[in-house]
Amino acid sequence: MGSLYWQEQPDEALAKATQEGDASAFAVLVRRYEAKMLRYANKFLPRHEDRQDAVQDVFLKAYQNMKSYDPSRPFSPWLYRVAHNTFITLLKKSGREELSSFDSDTFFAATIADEHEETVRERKEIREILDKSMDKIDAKYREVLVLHYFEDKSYEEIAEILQMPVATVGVRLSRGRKMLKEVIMNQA
Amino acid sequence: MTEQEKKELAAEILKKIEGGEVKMRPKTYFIMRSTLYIVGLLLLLLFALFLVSFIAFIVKGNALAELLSYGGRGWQGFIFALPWLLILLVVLAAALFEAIATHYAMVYKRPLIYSCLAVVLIVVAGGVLLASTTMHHKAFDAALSNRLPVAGALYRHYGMAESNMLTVGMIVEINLEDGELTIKTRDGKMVVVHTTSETKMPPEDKLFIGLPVGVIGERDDNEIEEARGVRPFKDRHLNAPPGFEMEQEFGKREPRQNLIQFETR
Repeated sequence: MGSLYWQEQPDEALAKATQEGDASAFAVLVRRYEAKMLRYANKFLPRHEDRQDAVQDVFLKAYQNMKSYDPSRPFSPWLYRVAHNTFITLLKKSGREELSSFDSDTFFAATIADEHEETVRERKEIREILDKSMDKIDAKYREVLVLHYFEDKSYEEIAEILQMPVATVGVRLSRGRKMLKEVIMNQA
Repeated sequence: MTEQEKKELAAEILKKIEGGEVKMRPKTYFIMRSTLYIVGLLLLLLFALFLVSFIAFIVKGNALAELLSYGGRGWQGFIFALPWLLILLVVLAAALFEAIATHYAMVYKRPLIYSCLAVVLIVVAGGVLLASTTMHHKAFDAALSNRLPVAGALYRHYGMAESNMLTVGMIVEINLEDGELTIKTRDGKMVVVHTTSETKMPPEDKLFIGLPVGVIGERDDNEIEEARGVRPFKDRHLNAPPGFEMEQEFGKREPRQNLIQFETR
């Protein structure tokens, strides 16, 4: 089937076609997600120079493991999960950031504090601050903030990507925002 | 990112795929991996259950918990008598189980404390339940007569757990006037037990030759100078200490008759 036909298809149909051996369908997926993955890598790996290679790795791993994807579920969280694993491996290998294997946030039950609905302006402001202070935030909070503010993922989607309880996502977002505030206060 | 750059990356990836540099893993690979995870989880669970039930068998069968009612020294004796290596193995098996289980949505979607508690509950309750069967007694008997090939050494090594505060043996002589009992331990040694008015003991008519007992008190070679307690084991298959073949050595138990025999000796 032609490239134009695939460009009109949803991600899940493209992934299914890839599973059936159509590499051109996968090429469309790569083009569709490349900018997003590169942006994700830029935010998640601010201290890495080899982010372009990391993104290529994400797509190659996604292709290798495509048959583990269930086409009845959304494709995007699955791809972000592959990216998350790839980037975590990179961080561990480089040893440039401390990654704790035990995390009390995922261990204990947590309740999400009632938070007011953020306005478009507030989100924009947070994005700008986050963009400037990325390397000052711990990796575990940084990733949740990036997925929420840059990739526009919902709590449920982030929970699916990071394989953690939804409440933990809420806790990390809240702590991440506090960290951002502290960073601004320290800069002032 | 420009359209040109996008095309370049996609083209590079396609080149690698078409050149056979990167291959898609077949579905069977993922099915086998999932099967391995499930088999691994089951094996770990069974291993932990077996170990917990074995530990419970050791503690219950050798009356180790009795030590707990004898103050600080009793607690110390209890702690020293516990099979710590086996306990460590249980903890490792449970931790590995939990680590593998977190790959499943039903586990990672909830705080890990829930699944950890569930694992502990299943392993402990299942292990204690398993320990209440005659499985370990039979296996232990088989191990003593070298009829248990793989786990035999484990039973022989841990089965007869004792501490310097607890000596398990069978009464072979009773001298109530002098407050003395002689017991034969499972390794065939004769130990003289001195009792005092402070010693917690069963009533006289419950003592008989051939009765397996656990004696609480510091042992000095073949003597326990001041027994703090004498705890009888009630039933051969449920409570008798492992390592005794009572019927073979002493015949069927008939308490009063044995006591009379002893008293008229």
